Amino acid sequence: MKHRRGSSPWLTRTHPAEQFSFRLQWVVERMAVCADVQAHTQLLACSLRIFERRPCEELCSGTSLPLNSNRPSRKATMLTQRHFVAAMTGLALAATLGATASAEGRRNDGSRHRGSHEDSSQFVSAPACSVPHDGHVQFVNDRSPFRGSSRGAYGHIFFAGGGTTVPSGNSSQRSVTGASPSTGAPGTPSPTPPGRPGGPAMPVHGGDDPPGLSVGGHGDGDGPDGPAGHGDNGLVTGGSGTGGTASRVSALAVNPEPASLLLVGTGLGTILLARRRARKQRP
Amino acid sequence: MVGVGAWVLSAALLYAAVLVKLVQQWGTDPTYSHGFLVPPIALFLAWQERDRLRDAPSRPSALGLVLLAVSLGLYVIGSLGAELFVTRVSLIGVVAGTVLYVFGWNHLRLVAFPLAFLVFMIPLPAIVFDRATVSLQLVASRMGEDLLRAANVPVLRDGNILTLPTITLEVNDACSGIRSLMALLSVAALVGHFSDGARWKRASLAFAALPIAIGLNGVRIAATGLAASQFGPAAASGAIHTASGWLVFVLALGAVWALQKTLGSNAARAAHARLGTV
Repeated sequence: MKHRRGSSPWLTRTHPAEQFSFRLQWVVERMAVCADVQAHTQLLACSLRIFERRPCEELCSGTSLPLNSNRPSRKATMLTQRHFVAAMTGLALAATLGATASAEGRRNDGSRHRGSHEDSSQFVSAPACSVPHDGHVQFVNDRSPFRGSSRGAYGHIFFAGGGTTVPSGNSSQRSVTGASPSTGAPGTPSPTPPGRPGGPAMPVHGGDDPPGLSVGGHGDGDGPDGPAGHGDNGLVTGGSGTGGTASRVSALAVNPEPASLLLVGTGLGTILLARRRARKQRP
Repeated sequence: MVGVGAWVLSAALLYAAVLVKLVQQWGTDPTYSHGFLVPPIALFLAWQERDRLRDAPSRPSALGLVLLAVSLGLYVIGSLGAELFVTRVSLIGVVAGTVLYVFGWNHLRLVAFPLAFLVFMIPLPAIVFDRATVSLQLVASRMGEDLLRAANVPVLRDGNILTLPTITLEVNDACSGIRSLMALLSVAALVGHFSDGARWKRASLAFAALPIAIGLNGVRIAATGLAASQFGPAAASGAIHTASGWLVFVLALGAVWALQKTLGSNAARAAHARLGTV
């Protein structure tokens, strides 16, 4: 049941205190009418809502509380909440800005503080660690232990390409040879012209050997060749097979990719072309 | 209008330093140079939805405020911890939260893809990027080694170094495939967005970019090694070699396109079958 603004008895009482007392009186009267417990509960809830100026649609036996004209609409209530929430957002934003500014200020203060100490410090100031702008890991001397140098990370050790061949005369201790029969002396340059591989290389591990120098086995080009023998604590050298000297003339090649701008641009161009083509094909 | 202007101004003030650094990184890092293209594409995608945005009923949600608060919290944490990724991601959260708070879920749903697409403009954290790069380097090297062995080319791999009879190839950071992977992911996401069909098909199209990019990068490295072993080291350098990365990306695009066509034709066939028009 809706009550129009002009006809509502609530509106005749303009003073808030007067209105409140009238509402309370109305509730008490209704409580006398409603006998069941459920109605009492509803009335209690409704009377509480009166204090909150919240809508109360039904009361006990279907009678409406004539508050429609005065109470805020649902939308208006939401708006009020939104205003509150907006104020909270503003506060949060202000707090964010304040915290950031404060942190920035503290950082500046810290640097100034350090600066003043540097002037009077008796310690020698070392250069600070510099972090690269792109945020990538910077290896010492720009050399990644993983990526390797011009002949690989440990190419000078493991590969013949490194050319670290050790003459047999230098071997003071027992050396480990390759699994296949070797024809060339360790460290001797191969007579085979470059470009003729001596077959797939098989690593030979000398893990059980006593500490000392290990030299890689040398194949004859027909069978598997052992590129390196690994001693526990000894020097590890690469072996050069009779056909495996090609790596000595090898050059390192990097495989750069184009910039992602070019790649995405190409993709976009393809999409545009395809869409245009699809549009033309449509009747 | 005044509110929108005030919001844009405050967001610009708050994120000015973050955005300046972001643009600087796009300019200096070739891996993320595609970042220049991402915001205009996202704006275009949002602009395409303008009619639906206008017609959609506005039902503001207070959850937007929660999202806004969380994003601003991330901004504070990122600023205090000097973590660029977090502060940059918080910008997307702030925009999404504002849309949800001011306009509601309907509008947020319409601009969800453009907002999500903005993620492609944000460089990955260094710890993730380096780990991904190293893993991709190893995978590409291993694939290249296997393919070269299959082609009867003797090869010895030590980590990311491929030693061939005529040349030693290094699969370095730049050729780990991370650039083509990120570029292909963004392009595949766009292709999926523009294509018809179920959502899972479009999502699978975007995710298919991952194996395609990795696989084709391995093929590229193997092809480089094969060319070097057949025609000499000169074949692994120069203009042809520089163009190989781009050519492989075009091939990857073709693969994505073919997959999209296959999924699309399957969907069309299924629709025809349902209607009994086959």
